[in-house]
Amino acid sequence: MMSNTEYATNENLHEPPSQQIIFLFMSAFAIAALFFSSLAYGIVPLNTAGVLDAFLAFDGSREHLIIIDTRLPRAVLAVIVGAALGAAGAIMQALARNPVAAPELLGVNHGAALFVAGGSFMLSAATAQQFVLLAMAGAGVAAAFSYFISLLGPNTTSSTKLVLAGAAVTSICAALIQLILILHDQTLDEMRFWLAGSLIGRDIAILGSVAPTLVAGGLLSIVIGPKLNVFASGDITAQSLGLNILTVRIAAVSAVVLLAGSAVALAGPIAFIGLAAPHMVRHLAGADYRWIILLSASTGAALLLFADLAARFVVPGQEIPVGIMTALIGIPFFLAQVRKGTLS
Amino acid sequence: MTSSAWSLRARIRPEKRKILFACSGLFLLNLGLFYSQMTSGPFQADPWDVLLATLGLGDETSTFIVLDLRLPRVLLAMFIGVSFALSGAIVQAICRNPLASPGTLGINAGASFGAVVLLVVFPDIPLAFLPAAAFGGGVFAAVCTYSLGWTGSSSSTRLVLAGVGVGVLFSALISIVMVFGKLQLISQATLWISGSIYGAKWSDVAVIALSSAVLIPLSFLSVTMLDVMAMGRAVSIGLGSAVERDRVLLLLLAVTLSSTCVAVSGPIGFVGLMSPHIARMIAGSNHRNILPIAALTGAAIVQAADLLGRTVFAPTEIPVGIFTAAVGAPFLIYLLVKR
Repeated sequence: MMSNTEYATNENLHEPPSQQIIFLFMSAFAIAALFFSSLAYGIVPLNTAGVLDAFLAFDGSREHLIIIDTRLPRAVLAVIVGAALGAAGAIMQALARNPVAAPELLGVNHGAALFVAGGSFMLSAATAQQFVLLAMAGAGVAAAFSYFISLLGPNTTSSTKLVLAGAAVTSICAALIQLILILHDQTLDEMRFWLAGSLIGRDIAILGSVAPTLVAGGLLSIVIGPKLNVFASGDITAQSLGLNILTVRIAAVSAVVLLAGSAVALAGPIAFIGLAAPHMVRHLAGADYRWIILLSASTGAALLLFADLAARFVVPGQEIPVGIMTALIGIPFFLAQVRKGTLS
Repeated sequence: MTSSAWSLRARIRPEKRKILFACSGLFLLNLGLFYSQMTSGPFQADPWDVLLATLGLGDETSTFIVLDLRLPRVLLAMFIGVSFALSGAIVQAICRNPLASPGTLGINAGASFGAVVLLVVFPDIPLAFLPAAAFGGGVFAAVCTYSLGWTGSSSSTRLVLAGVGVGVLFSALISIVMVFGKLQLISQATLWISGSIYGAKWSDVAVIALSSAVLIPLSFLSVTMLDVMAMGRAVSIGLGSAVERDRVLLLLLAVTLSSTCVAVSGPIGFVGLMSPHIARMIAGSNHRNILPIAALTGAAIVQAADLLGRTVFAPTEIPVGIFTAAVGAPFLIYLLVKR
């Protein structure tokens, strides 16, 4: 319950948002810089000045092909996936009134992976479109399940309960995935790539099939901001202020599922952006959820770009999956939250 | 004085009978599982052949199958179940938290990390050092969890949250190590990490039997310490126990128990969480009773999981860890909802 104070301070809601605007510009600048570095630096060393040429004067050389065909889609994906995960994390934390309620901790990634594996095993789904739908359904089911478990029984706002419910759902999904992979070699072959959680070699065409849900999730998260400001003041206060709690809950859950589900469908399991991004912006963004969601999205994009860039250089000559990199960046935030002692 | 002592004894007696009853029931269950493990499988041996082969009197095929394939596997399953269960019971007593277990405190992940580092990064070091590496990783993870999550005297939910975080961190580190290694080494490590006792060897049994010979008696010697610990810090100090020292010693014991298992079989989840709970449901709060019942329960769980893993999807073998997770994760949910 102590953690609620962080969400319920509404006194500076109507101050001029200069701090937030500065933060927004800073993160936009960071995204631009990281985006450029993401194009310019990688395993294959390229001429930095040539990056602009690739766009302005494309000549079909190897360098230009690498930039346009490999690095550009990767950077674009990083921005989209990072923003979606950041926004989803911010909404989820507002919904659960719990600073550790990141989509990843609720088993979204493993749920999506389970549905994709099960789909390719039992329904022999193969097209990217089917994978996207399955991933989204799995993400939604897993998140809803974890959240629902944490609402059962006494002490419904306990962080420990939420995190452990997510851990339990995750291990069930992981066990079932392993079972499917053991029973069905072909699935293992198809899934290995998807399960790695990376931005490399993803078919940019998938973006087209995810775009509707992504846009819907984005719009929903814009609309829901003001409602969440009221929601943050607690169920009873919000209700007496005329807010329909149930509608807000359903809208928020749908937004999270649409955003996180699209992200998983695009890039596979990417961990902890949804936890770290809202955590990073909390002190600067104030209490207005419109700003928190927007800034979490921009920070999430910058974080994922950074993680993707770092993943190319941590192990010399080899890339590590970006999902692992984001876990390494994100877990310290979780542990810091634990250390601070505001969780119950 | 005498009459009150008498009434106390009268109250204890049915308890004692219940414990004995539970112990013998669990023992019979273990025996039954042992029997079906030894006799079932693609090679159909009737009990008489199995008995003869165990005594070294059977023909060559059945001797090989029974003595070299089935017996080490069953023994390994038993030892692992006992060790994980004892480790879980100790951890839950130290933390005074029913959600604590070698898995939720990140100890299993840490031990796996130590073992994977040895397997993948230093393939030249003989496998005999695997338990030591796992132990090192387990201790490191326990220290991380402890220093991040310990609040002194207050409740220890933070310890569990820190443990979950530390566990995820070590899993990520394991994945990074996997990227480093050669393909052949990685596939070996992957097989091991899914928590399986498929292909158990007598050398594995020897490792865990030797360590169990020391660790299991130690655990049973510490029952009084555990009882005192479970009453909380203030009471323990009042009773004259050196709380900090005892806690470190017991934690070391728990880490050693589970790291040895992890070194041999890979992380098998949820046994250390479930067994002590089942034991407490039967035996109440006295660790003198909890430990043996938890140990027998753990052995039965791992044996049953292995039996299912061998038979349900035969001829494909399913790792034990999958079945313990399939039962254990709903159990965790039940604990969460009930509290």
